[in-house]
Amino acid sequence: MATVRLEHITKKFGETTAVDDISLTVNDGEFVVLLGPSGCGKTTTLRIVSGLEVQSEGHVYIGDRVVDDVEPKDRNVAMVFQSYALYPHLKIYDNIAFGLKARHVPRAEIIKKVNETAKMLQIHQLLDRKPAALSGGQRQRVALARALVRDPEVFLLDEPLSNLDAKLRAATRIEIKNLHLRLRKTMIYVTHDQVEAMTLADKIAVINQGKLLQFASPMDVFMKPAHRFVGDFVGYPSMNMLGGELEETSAGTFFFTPVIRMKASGAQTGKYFLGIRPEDIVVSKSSSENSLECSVRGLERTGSDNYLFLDYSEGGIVASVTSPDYSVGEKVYVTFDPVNAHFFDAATGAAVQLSASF
Amino acid sequence: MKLPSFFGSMKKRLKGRIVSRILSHFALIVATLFALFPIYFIFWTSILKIQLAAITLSSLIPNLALITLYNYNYVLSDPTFFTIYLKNSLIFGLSAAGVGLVLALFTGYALSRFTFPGRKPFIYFIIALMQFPGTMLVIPYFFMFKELNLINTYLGLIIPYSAGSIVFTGILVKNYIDSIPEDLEEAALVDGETRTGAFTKVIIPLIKPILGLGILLAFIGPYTDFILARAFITGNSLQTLALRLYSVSSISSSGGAAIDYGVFSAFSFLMGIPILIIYLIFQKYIIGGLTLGGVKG
Repeated sequence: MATVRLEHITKKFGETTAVDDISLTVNDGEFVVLLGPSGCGKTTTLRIVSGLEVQSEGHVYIGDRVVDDVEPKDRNVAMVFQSYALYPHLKIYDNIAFGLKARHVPRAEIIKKVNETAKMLQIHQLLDRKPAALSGGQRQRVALARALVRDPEVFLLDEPLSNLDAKLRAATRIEIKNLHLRLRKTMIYVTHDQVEAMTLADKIAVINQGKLLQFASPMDVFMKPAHRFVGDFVGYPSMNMLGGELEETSAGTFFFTPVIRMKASGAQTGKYFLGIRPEDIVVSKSSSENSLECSVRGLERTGSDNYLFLDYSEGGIVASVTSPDYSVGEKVYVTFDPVNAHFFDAATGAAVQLSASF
Repeated sequence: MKLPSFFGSMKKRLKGRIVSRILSHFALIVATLFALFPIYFIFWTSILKIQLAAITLSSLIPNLALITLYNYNYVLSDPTFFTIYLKNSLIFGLSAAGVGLVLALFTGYALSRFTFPGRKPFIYFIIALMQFPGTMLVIPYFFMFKELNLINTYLGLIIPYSAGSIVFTGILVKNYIDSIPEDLEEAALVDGETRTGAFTKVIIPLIKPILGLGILLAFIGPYTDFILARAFITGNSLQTLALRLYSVSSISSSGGAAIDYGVFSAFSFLMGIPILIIYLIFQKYIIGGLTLGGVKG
C-alpha cells in the first residue's frame, strides 16, 4: 500500500520559506495534483516526497514508513521531470532500463519489462535511438516509460506536459489519465495549469506562497473555493472580485460595494470580497432591478466561448456570454444570482459563508 | 521593372558573399602557414644533410638528395634515450596526468555542484592563479620540497605537476559540468543510484570530451617541462627528455657551446610522438564532445 502522508512539512532556503507547514494525505491509488503559480512551492513539495530535497521540519510517510532519512533510491518512487532528464549518452532502451539495472534486476527480466513498457507507450521502434534524435512528445513518452517500467509505489510528475505544444498536451493528458485508471497507482502531479489539474486530479491541492490553501476534489475546488486565491486562480477567466464591507444598519445587515447593496448575514461586520464567476454573470441589454450599468470595453472570442470585458463606474467585470453580439462602447446591464456569490475575508482571504440576497 | 532590380540586388549579395569568403580563406591560409612553418622547418632540418648555418631559402625546398637519417640514428642509437629519458618523461607525464585528472575531476565537480562557504572566492582564487607564470613557482617549490626531502625524487615532481592540473583542468571540468542539467543526476538518484553511481554512470560519460582534453593537457605540461625539472632533478637517473634535449644537442667546440640543430630537431620530433599517440587515443572523446548534443533534453 502506498499512501503518501505529509505532516507539517516546512522547507526553508536561507531566509525564504518555500514550503510553509503543509500537511496532506494522498491515499493509495489516488491522483493528486499540486496546483499553484510558479514559485509557490509545489515542485519543492514534490521533491521533498522524492527525497531529492530534505524538509526543514515535519515528516514524510510513504506507506507506513517514515522516510525522512531515506535516500531517494530507497523510497521506491519514480519521477518524471519537467525537462524529461533523459540520459543523453544512452540509447532509449538503456534510458528505460537504467533504474532496473541500478536495482540489479536479472537481464532477461529487464529485456522483457523494457519491451512491454515501450510497446504500451508506443515507443518500441525508438529503442535503438539516442534522446537527441527524438521529438519532444517522444522524449516525454520515454520519460514516462522510464518511470512506469520500475513499477514503483508512487509516481511523481513535475509539470510533465509543459514542454509540449497545446494539441499534444491535450492528447497526452488523456493518456496519463487512462494510464492512472489502468494502473491505479498513487500519483502526485505538479502543474500550474488549472485545466490539467481539473481534468486529471482525484484531488487538487492548491498551493500559494508555500501554503496549502485547499485540498479537495476538482469540483469542490471550483464550486467552493476555500480561499480568495483559489477562487481567483482556478477557472478561466478569473473570478470577479469586488471589495466591499459588511455593515449593520437600522434595516439589518448589508453587504455594500460602491455599486452593489445586498442583504447579507452569517459573519462579523468588516471588509470582505464578493467573488462571482464570469459564467455566473447575467448580461442583458436592458436594465432590470438590481442590475449594474456597464459599457463594453472589449470582446474576446475563443470560438466556443465569448468573454465580455465590461467597465462600470468603479472598475471592471468579466462576463462569459454565449452570444458574441456586442460592440465596443455599448451599454449593457449585468446582474447575478446571489446564490452564486462567494465571500472572502479581506484580511485573511479565507472563504466565509454568508447568506445573501438582493 | 521590379524584377531586374531584385535580381540585381541578389547578384550584389552573392558577390559580397564571395568576396568575404575569399578574404576569410586568405586570412586562414596565412595563419595556417605561420602555424605549420616551424613544424615543417624542424622536420626538414632533422633530415637535412646541411647544417643550420648553411641553410638558405632554396634548401628548404624538399629535395631527396639532401636527406639523411643520420640525426635520428644518432639519437636512437643511444639506448639511454629509452631507458632513462623516455621512461622518466613518461613516468612523470602519465602519473601527473592520472593524478592531476582525478584531482581536477573532483575539484571541478565540487565547484560546480556543491555549495559551501567560500566557493565563489575560491573559484576566483583559482582563476587568479592562472595569471601567474609557472617560473614563479620554481624557487618557493624548491625550498618546500627540499625541506620535505623530495628533491630529485619522482614524487617531488609528480606532486607539483599534478597540482598544476587542478588549476586549469579543474576550471575546465567545472565549466563543463555546469552545462549538464542537475536533473540528470537527480533522475539517476530517484532511479536507484547512489551519488557515486550517478557520478560514474551519468556525469563521467557526459564529460568524457573534457576528460580527454584534460588528460592531454595534464600530460603535455609535465612531459615537456624544463624549468621545474631542471631545478628539481640533480642526479642522472631521473633525467627527462626535455632536459636531454638540451644536453644532447649541445656541442662544445673551441669557440664555446653551440647547438647541433640537426640533432635538436630529430630529438624534438621523436619527443612529440608520445603526445601524438595520447592525442590519437583520446581524440574520439575530444571530438565526440562536438556531436554529443541533446544534453539539454
